Amino acid sequence: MEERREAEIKEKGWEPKILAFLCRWCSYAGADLTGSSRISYPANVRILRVPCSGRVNSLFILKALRSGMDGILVSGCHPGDCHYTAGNYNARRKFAILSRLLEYVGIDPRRVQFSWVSASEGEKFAKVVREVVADVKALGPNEMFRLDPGNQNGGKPAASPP
Amino acid sequence: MYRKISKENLRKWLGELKARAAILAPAKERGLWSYREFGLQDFPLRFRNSRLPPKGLFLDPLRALFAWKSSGGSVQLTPLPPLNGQRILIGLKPCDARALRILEPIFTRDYPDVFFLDNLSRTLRLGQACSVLCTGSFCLEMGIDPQESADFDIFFREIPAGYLARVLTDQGRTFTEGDFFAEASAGEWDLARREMPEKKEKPLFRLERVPAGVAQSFPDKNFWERVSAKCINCGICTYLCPTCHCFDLGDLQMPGQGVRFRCWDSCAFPGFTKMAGHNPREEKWRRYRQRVSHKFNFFYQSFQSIACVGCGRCVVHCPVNLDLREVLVEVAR
Amino acid sequence: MPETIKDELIALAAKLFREGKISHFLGYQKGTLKFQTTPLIALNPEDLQHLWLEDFFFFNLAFYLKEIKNKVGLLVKGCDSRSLLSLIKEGQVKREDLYVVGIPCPGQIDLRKVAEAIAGEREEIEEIWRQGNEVHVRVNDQEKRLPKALALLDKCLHCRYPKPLISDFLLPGEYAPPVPPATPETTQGLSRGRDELRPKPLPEKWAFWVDQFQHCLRCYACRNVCPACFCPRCIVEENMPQWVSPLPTAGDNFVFHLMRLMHVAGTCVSCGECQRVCPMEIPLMRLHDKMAEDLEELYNFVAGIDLDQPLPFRTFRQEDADDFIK
Repeated sequence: MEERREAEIKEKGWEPKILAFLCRWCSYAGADLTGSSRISYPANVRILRVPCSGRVNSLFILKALRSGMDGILVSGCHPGDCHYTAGNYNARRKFAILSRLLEYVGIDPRRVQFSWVSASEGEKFAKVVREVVADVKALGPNEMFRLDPGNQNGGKPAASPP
Repeated sequence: MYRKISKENLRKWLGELKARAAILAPAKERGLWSYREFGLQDFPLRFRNSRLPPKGLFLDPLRALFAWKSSGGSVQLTPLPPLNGQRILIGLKPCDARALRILEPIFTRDYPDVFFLDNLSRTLRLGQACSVLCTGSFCLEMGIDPQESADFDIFFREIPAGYLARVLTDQGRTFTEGDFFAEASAGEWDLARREMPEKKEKPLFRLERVPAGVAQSFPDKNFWERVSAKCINCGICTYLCPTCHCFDLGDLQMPGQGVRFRCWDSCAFPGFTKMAGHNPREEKWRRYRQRVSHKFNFFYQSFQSIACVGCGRCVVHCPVNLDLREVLVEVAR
Repeated sequence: MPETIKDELIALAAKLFREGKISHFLGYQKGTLKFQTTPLIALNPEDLQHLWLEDFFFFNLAFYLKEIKNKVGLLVKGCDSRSLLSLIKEGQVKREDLYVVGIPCPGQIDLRKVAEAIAGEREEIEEIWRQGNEVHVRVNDQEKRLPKALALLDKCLHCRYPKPLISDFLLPGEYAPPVPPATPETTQGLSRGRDELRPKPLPEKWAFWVDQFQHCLRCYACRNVCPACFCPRCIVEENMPQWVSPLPTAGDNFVFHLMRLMHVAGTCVSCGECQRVCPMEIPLMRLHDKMAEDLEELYNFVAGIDLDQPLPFRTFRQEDADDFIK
């Protein structure tokens, strides 16, 4: 595991690391409002702003898991309110399929969650984050997928014995 | 030096050896044959050859080379040791054993590749004579005798009562000391030779004509375009080939630290020779020409052996049945 | 293939070549090994003398359209024609650049299943021939019979589109599902209940797929043989930045395959070629079938059957499933 993270865990105990893709027009603004309203929410979340929830490629989510994120949140505008008209509608479809796929290969769907948070929903953003953090904390660290540069084999080598 | 051993004693002998080394034998798993830890059950019948060549036990498909850490402008490198532990590989075939011999100079000539060489030195190679010719194979044309080989430590031929063993190396000799093996004669060894039922009257091509034939066809773009037209640029032929050895280096990394690995690479991939701003083998026909030329001409010039043993894996598993044999027949005409 | 039909096809192709309507004709010729064909890429009518359509024409020739960008004539089975529709929808090929010849298909034989049924190796099979609803196999000079349903590829067991959905010419013959009857009702669960993985708990599913992806070599045969994977430069080959590591670790193999799956969603027609070509016997079709079923269940979308049906991720309905979103 990355040295800094290892040290962090040793010192403070494990806390889930969540990557949140927030759409710039609604969810990111909503998260901003959470802050300016002085509403506390867990510090486990790292926010990555995207123009639209529809920008989020399935590869981002897979790469986030591979990079060691314990959980992922993608949040966008409510249906009908997308700044780009239909981006969130397309995202909704993509993520429905991706969720089912992740579940089919054995990845708990509670690790990758989705929400609609509007620019005025500061309270809701905090609530969503608290729920996601609690879910992921219950699931434990992302051991399965995580790239571990300290692990010399990076996962077992393909197809050959000893 | 020749020995013989009954099936019962062979099992006992391997049982004893298990304490000293990991024994890898052919086993069928997930629908394909590969070399796995041997559980001392009966020897697998119907084993012709493994899906993946045993080269993967020597040139690992994925091998960590060193770890690195960087902080404040300085970099710390920690070499990672090759694997160790004695291994005994049984059921190895003459084609694959020859392939290991062909590979050896690549990993010794310019510098000693410790990962490959350590794998070689810690592995006892026990061979098994073939009783049938593999589908798609052309080992005979490549000068390999499925029933005779000096590329092992010990080479076994099956007989009704058990096995005859031809002991070829000093290591082989030490392993066959003891009561399990009895003396045998060269005459018994010769008698145990089997005729390959599928052996053809006439070889497909004459090997001695191939290197020059390949060299001569080099400028013939139309020929190479025609023969490579259906290729899909995957890596199956290269990965399943016991003599192919191209590799890539890559890091698995996080900020400030990482591990450098070696993994297999394929000259069939479009990006294989892609460099900054230029790819000399952009077109498929160039890559196919290179593959055939390397194995049958350039490698021969550098190492005096052809980098192909005719095992037939590329022929059987090519997704579009691009048959190397057809290409060789044309080139050697 | 009756000589008359072959001659007709050659004459047709000759006309197309002569009139400059095609520069290539894609078909099948006898393979160099038993029980297989090999793609025939004809550049002139004479090349078509090698056409062979007796059996084992499993290739989905549409994948060559990724590479051959001129006017092309090609033979397609019902399932392959769906790939053509998919590619037209994706703007990868123009309808007017294709001359599509449909061929009737008796269902394609799955050599793995046959080998399993005779409890032997594929190399030991001496002969395979069909008679009525049975597939006959000769091994060790003994004859065994298999009902068709046990010898065909999984996808053939739930064939819903035996007749090419687009064609300029249909070869004569019977265009019917090989294992009748197949109705939307009987093919609801595409895998017909054969996927025993679905009801299993998550850790078992994970263990199954880790074991499978551990063995992936990253030969990219699955990607290269797929008509739906038409990116000129796959993102795996990008290394500045590197999105997907080319190293064949189980974790990176997961990323590659799941990403590929999501990227072909809507264009993948479950032709099964990816699974057939995989040298490590990874059951990729389970993933593709699951995804296709989800697309049909959630969005009433079936890939490659209706040119007017928009691709699933390019459109939406207000009522789309929303319950998984907070």
